[in-house]
Parts: sequence; C-alpha cells; structure tokens
Amino acid sequence: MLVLNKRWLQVLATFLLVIPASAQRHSISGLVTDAETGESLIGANIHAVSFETGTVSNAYGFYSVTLPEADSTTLVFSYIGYDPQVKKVYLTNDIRLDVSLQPAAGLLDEVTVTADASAEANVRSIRMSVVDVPIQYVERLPAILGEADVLKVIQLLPGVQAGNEGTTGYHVRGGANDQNLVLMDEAIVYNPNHLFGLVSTFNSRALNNVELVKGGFPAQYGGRLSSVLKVSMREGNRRQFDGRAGIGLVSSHMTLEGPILQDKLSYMVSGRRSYLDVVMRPFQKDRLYYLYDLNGKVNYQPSPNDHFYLSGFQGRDVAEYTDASGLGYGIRFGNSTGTFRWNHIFGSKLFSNFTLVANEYFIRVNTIQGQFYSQNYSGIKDLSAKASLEYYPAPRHHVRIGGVATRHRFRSTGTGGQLPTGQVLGHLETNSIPEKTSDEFALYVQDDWNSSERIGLSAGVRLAGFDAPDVSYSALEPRLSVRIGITPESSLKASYTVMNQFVHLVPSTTASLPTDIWTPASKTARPQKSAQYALGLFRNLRKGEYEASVEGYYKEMNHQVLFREGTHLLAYDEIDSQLTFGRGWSYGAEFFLKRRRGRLNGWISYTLSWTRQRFADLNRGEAFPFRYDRRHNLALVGTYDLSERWSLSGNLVLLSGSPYTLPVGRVYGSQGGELYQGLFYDYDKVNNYRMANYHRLDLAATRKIKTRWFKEGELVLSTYNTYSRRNPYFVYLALDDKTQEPVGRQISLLPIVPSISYNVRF
Amino acid sequence: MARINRTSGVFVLAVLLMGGCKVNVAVDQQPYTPKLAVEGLIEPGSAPRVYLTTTVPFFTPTQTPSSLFVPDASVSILGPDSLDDLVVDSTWSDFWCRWEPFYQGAITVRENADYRLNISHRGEAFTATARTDLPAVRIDTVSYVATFVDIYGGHEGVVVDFMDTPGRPDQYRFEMVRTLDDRHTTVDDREYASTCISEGQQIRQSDVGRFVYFDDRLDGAPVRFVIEPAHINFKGDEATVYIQSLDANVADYYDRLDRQREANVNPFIEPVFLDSQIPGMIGVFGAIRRSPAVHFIFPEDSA
Repeated sequence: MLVLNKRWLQVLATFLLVIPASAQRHSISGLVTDAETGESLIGANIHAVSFETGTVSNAYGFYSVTLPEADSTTLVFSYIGYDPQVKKVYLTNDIRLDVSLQPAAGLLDEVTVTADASAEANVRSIRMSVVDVPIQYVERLPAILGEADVLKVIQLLPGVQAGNEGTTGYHVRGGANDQNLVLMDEAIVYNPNHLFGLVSTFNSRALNNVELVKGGFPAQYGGRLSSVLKVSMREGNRRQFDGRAGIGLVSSHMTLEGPILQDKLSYMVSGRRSYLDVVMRPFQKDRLYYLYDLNGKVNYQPSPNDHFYLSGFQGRDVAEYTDASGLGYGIRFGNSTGTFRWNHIFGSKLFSNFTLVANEYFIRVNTIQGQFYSQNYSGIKDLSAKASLEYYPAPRHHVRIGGVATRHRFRSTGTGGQLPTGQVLGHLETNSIPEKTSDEFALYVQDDWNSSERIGLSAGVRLAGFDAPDVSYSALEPRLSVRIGITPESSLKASYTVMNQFVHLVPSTTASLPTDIWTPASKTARPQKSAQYALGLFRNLRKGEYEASVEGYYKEMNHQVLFREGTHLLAYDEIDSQLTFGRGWSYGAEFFLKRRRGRLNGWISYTLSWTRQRFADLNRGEAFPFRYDRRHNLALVGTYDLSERWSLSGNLVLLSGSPYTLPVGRVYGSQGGELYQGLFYDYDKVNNYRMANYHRLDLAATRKIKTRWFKEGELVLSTYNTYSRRNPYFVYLALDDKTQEPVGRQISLLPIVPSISYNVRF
Repeated sequence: MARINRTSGVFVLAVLLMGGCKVNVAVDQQPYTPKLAVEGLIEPGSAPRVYLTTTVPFFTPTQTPSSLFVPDASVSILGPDSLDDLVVDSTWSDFWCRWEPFYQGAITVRENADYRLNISHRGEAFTATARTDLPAVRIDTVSYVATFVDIYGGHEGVVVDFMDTPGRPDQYRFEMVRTLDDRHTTVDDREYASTCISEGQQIRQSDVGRFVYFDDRLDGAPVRFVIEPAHINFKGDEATVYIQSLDANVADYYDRLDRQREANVNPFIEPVFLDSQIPGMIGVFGAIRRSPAVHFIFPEDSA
C-alpha cells in the first residue's frame, strides 16, 4: 500500500494556497478557433497590449487572462499560420470572448505572421526543452515513400535521434526507446512506428498539433523518463464538409470531415493503407507486407461551456516471409486507442477536462532461421481515467491540478529452440498466457508564474504510484523551471525534473531482436527513475527572424533494464529472472538555429552528447556506451518557395556511428569433450565497435496544381537518401564463403528511394 | 561455426522486403593482447592434467590445439604432500586426427585436499586453488528413449536417473565413454566428420555433455538427465556412463561455454563473456568427481 508522507501533504497544501488573490481585476476568457473549420487552436498567443502581458490557449483552445480594471484594453490574438486579430474590450466585468482566426492567405505570409508570437515563446516562456512540431513542416519536408511523417521531423530536432533505419522509435537525450511517452489524444501509443520505423503510425492529415517535451517536464506529465510526445488529432471541420486524399507509390490515404450539426457536432475520419502486398503479389508470393491506420474523431459542443470529444485510432502491420530453404518470418503488431473527453468551463478562470482512455498494443513474432525457431507474443492493455483543472488567477499565472489512474494488463510469453525435423511451426495461443495486472496513478499540481518581465518560475510536484499484487511503489517528483530575462530578446532558463517509470520495455543489448517485451515493475524490476538538469540560453535575432538556443543537460537514469548474458529470452515466461539492472547517464549540448521568415526557412540542429551505462552483471561491471550513443548529430532542414506553384525542401543528416559488440579474441576449448571442441569468443567490452558514420540527403519538390475537379491539388516528388549512401544498418559476423574464416558483414537497408505522390483537397 | 550469425529476424525481414544490400566489411582488429587460457580439472585418484593455450586475435585464421599450445610455461600443482611440476605431454586423437598437447602431472590427487595451481609464463604468474571435496553421486538407472523433445528439438536420448546430494549446492554434467568405429565418424549434429578412423579400427572417446545442471532449486531431489549423445549409435554399442560432480568454478566456466556456444549460433541469445577465477586468464582450475561407472548398451540404432 502507498504511504503518503504527511509532510509532503503539507507541502502540497501550502503550494495550492500560495495562489495570489486578486482585487479589482476582471477576466477575459474564451476559446480560440479556426474561422474556417471551427477547430480549436492550441497554443494561440493572446497579448494584452497596454499591460504588456498575455497568455496562450491551452490544449483545447481555451484561454483566460485576468487584468486590472480599465476603461479599455486591446487584445491581439495570433497563431501560427493565421492572420492576427485585434480586439478592444472594456474591462469593467468578466468577459467571455471567443475568437476565430482566419488562416493566412499564402504560405509566405503565413510564415511571416507566425514569427513574432512563437519567437516570443522561445524567450519568454518559462518552459524549456519543448518543441512544437510545425505541421506545415511535416507536410512540406521530404518524406520516405511519399508519406509525410511527424516522427521523421522530430528526429531532425536537437537532442533527438533516430535508431538506425529499421529500428523502431527515437531516442531523446540518451534515453531508451521505452522512455518516450507517446500520447495520441491522451491515450498511450506504445509503439508509434509502422514496421522498420520507416513510417510512423501518425497520419499527418489527421493531426492538429504535435509537441515534444525533452526536459523541464510539467507535473501533468509522468510515467516515462525521457520525453513526452503529445499528439492531438484534428477535431473535424465544424463549418463545412472537407475532404483530402492522396495516392502514392506504396500507399493511399483519405480524410473526410464535416459538420453533423452546424458549429456543434462534427466528425473527422482518416485512413491510410499500403498496397505493396497487392502490387507485389504477382511477382513475389513468398512475402507479404501491408500496414494500415485509421483515425476517427467526433466532437460535440452542446453549450459554450461544454465540449465532448470521442476519438479513436487503430494501426496494424502485417509481414510474412518464407522461402524454400526454410527461412521464415511472420510479424504482426498494432496499436489501438479510444479516448472520451469532456471539457467544462466553470467560469472565466477555471477550465476542466475529464478523460477516459482505453488503449492496446501487441506484437506477435514467429521466426524460423536455420534450425532455430522462436515465437513471441507481448501485449498490453490499459484503461485510464484522468481529470485536470486549470486555474488562471492572474496574467501569466497558470495553475494546473489533476490526477490520473491507469490499470495495466500485460501478457507476454515466448518459446523457441531447435525446430524438430519435418515439424511445422504452430500457432502460439495467447488466451492461455497468464495476465499480469497492475495499477498506476498520479496526483499533481503545477504553478507557472511569470512574476515579472525578468523572472518566471514554474514549480510543480507529482505524486506517482504503482500497485501490483505483490509490490507497491510511490514517489514524489519535484519539477522546477526558472526563466531569467536578460534582454527582451534573450533569456536564461534552467530546469530540474525527477521522473519515474513503472513499465519497462526490455531490449536486447546488441542484436535488436524483434522481441521487445513490455513488462511492469515488480519486486525485481524496480521502477526506472531519472533526474535531469538542464540549462539553456535562448535568444531571438533580427526581431524574431531567427530563433536560437543552446541547451546543456545532464540526466541520471537508475534501474535501467537489460537482458542478462546468455539469456534465451524466448524460452522463458518469467522475464524478471532474465533481467539485469543498472544505471545510465547522459550529458550533452544542443544547438538550434531556426529561420522563421522569408522564402528560405528552416533550421540547423546539432547535438554533442555522451551516454553510458553500467550494469554489475554486464561488461564485467564496467561502464559501456549506450547502444544509441552517437557523439555528433547534425541536421540541416530547409524549405524554399521557388514560386507560387513550386516549393523545394530538403534535409541533410549526419550522425556518428552507433556502437555494437564484436569479440576481439578467440579461445580454444579442449577438455569439455567433443561438444566443447572448437574456438570460443573472447569478448572484451560491450559495444566496443562503432559502425561507419551515417549521413543522408533527402529532397522534395512540390508543385501546386489547379484542377477543375478539386479545390486544391499538389504533386510531390521526393527522394530519400538521394545519393544512395550505403549506411550501415547493422554488422554481424559471418563465415567467408571461400576461407570459412569469420568476417564482418554489413547490412545496408535503403538505397535511394524516389517517390511520387498526388494529393488533392475536395 | 557454420552458423555464426547475429542477425535478427526483423532485420533480415526488412532487408528481404526492402531490398537492402549485404557486403563484407573490413572490421579492424582492435588492439588485443593474447591471454593464457587454462583448463585444469583435477579428480581424486587421477594425476592432474592441465591444458594451456593462448588466445588469438579474433580474425586470426583458425588454429589447432598444437599451434595454440603454450609449451614454455612453468606449471606446477602444490598439494597437501608435495609439489608436482607438470611436464609437457600429448596424446593423439584418433577421432580428431591431431596431437593434443597438455601439461601432465605425476602425483595422484587425493580426496578432501586443497591444491594450488601455479603458472608462470614470461614473467607473469597466475595462481588458482581447488578443493577435492565433491561427493560422488550414484547413478540409479540408465535407459534409452527413442524420441524426446528439448529446446534443441526432437532426438533419441540416454536417460540417466540419480539422486542429488542434499544439503549443499551441487552441479553436475553427463559423461559417456564410448567405443567408436568407422561408422561413428560424425559429431555434434554432423558438423564434423572424422577422416582418420580406418576400417575396422575401434577407438575410445569421451563424450561430455555441454549442459551443466545446478541444483539450486531442487536440493536433494531426484534428477533425470535426458542426453542426446554426440555420436550416432547402433544397436549393441557399448558405453560407460558417469555423472560428473563439478565444483562451482568448473560449473560456471563450462556453463558459460555452453551458453556462449548457443549464443554464437542462435541469434536469439545474448552474447556471453568468458571469464575465469584466475585474474588475467581465461579458463578454469577446479575439481570434479565422477560417479561410479554404469555399463550401458544401446538397444537400437539412432534415427
């Protein structure tokens, strides 16, 4: 059972009571929406000119700003890609003011208009290590196989790196793949990738907003050590029917949205499916691959103060391969989520949200390789309830309090060994797998207060708990961020956060097997815990044309999980006994320079980092580089508007080689009998080798096309890995065909991949 | 060695589906200082024998026991009564067709005694100790099963039943000394075929099981080993069966060898580092104790 320390309760209570009282003040509050679609605008900037203060809209478009009584004041509403709107209001009582912003007419204007508000956030916001991922960049940058992808853009940001091509996920500030909390409309997406990691599960046409948090985590976020990726699905056009569709070389997509009841009830459905399986079927009957994902959302606003959302998502990957020699693979995995939310505005200062979430993830892998087979299944189902209250007591003062409770149900098993001659691999029955149930919950409070132009403080605390039949854990997680304004164009920020993680994704150390298994914390597998310190200098140049930042961080991670040496992981259901636990640490510096205006805009991102781990049972107890420890990570990203019809984009990435393990010596075994005869391996260190550096150039050209049948049309030509660099995917030992001596063998996955796609709006 | 492969299923699948390319790459040999590798198992009633080889950089062409043998070391074993200076000796393996060199002692190892191995080589000294206090178990029955399934698949097997010694941590492995002729030329699932057993020739060969059993979960309980013999068998083949009791160092080392070998050929197993209780070396010095021998006749041909 959890024991809540009385002293900490007092701290919480005190924290809540420090909200400053206000006198002779009035609040202006409301919703900021898109004038064309009626959808909420997240992160819109509201600026009270005469008071030189303001706020931003929350995740549901709600804002509230409380100001001293005055005859009148002027409010400026602005948002990325929209024309700003100026409102004059009389401040003699509380005011409800809903504002609809009109999308900017053209791309060039769009970029220009967006600059100031967002650039200001770079310097003036207390939060650091946060990146809003511009959806317009997602749509405009080169995309592999023509599939615009949020995660591919995230991988171009400082402090973030992809695994190798083909490995799933991304790694933030030295964190493992499982340390990223990925939320789709508040539902956890355990694996945000389609097969090989080439395409994420997020269909960009269905998305409204994407935010990545790498550090300085607000207290409402928890459960993972390294990052939070918050993805919001579009609500659907509340004013008129709208449709989008696209056809590419390997997949097609369609999105439909529109009102059911004008301005009250709307829907959005979006689907995507690859058809590689259909195209290849006549030529290659021994292999099959397809993916699909579906997004759907309904939102209903029965009154100005109430808003209901129902959204769902499902993604699946299916791949099979067999050949005459007996080589065979079958992989099937997918995510499903469902979210119900109710927003209620209690008054001009208090906003609430209540959420119910169900989500599921599973992976099933059947493999035959040589004489060996493996069958693995790992699945997790969650049910969650969340509540949050947001209170706006004063300008630039925002208090959030809330709680979340989640029930996890895990099922994992595996088997493997040598396949009996003549036997066919049977079906792994999953219903009989014992289920592990555990509960995770949290209470939090967060207070963001820009007390003056120069000083801002964000303080929070999260009480996180975990309860399983045989063990319980609880922890207090302090969160603190400070901003010190140096000049109007620059600020210094620092943050300290503690995070706990009660579920583990257990990877292999070297082979990156397709057998990643989610497992809950237990007596043996204690929760992962991190403490992260970050310090950053933020500066805008040339009146916001350029946005620059330098951030340094140090992150300590305890109770990290890896498999023991020699673990035949698929042969055991009791995973805990096969694990070993250690610590990791990462430190580095991140440089970011972004140009926000002009025909040519984009960014340069560079990360210099070190990440190491130490496990008592691995590498003879000595520290070794983390599997994704890459010293240098450089990305150049740009878009260029050639004309009204043509635009170009490109990105260049350069990463140091990632480490892997090879033996350095060979040892003769003599006295064990015939079955020991031969040469064994003398390993020196874990991850003692590094692959060659990785670099890649992607290019894209987009041409807008006028057509009589559609509102808009565009043709997108792109190349992935334009100069066809043979980047190392992984290296393994093999026997040379002629000499029968061991040699290193490198697999490179993707040469140049050209693609063409045609997208329309109707 | 034929299946050295660290690929994983999804990677290969990715390559197959997406048309990736596979090339041999030069992997620079990292600086590597060869180490001494020792295997010295002492048993009451026998004279000590120590195999001493050198390790080699990984990408060195395959070596033989003779080429790896370290002949210029000083190897001695200090027992309760005397110091035994071991001398270089060798035997000819009729099965492997090669000389197998080792250091041979002269004393007879006693029960319940402490022994110290001392190795001196080119200015470096290594030492390890072992105690010969292992109890011998008694085999209850040895039988045969035409098919059984383990993690390696379905096989014929020799079934050995015995009782674990209660009240102490024990480790065991199987041993079978067999008479082979030119019909039994293959070993380890036909990866190796002997080329020097002539027609009509009979040789004696020891077949030691790779699997090491630890009794940490079932102390004092009945134990059953079901063993797939290394060599094929024919009806009427004769063998002598033992259960070896192993001390903790011996068990740990051969268990690591077993798991590493599995990891080297099975892509689903994490790699295993080899260590030793002797700092600076690889290998083991320890004690074993054989059970009383049980004579066994194979009742049928293997499949």
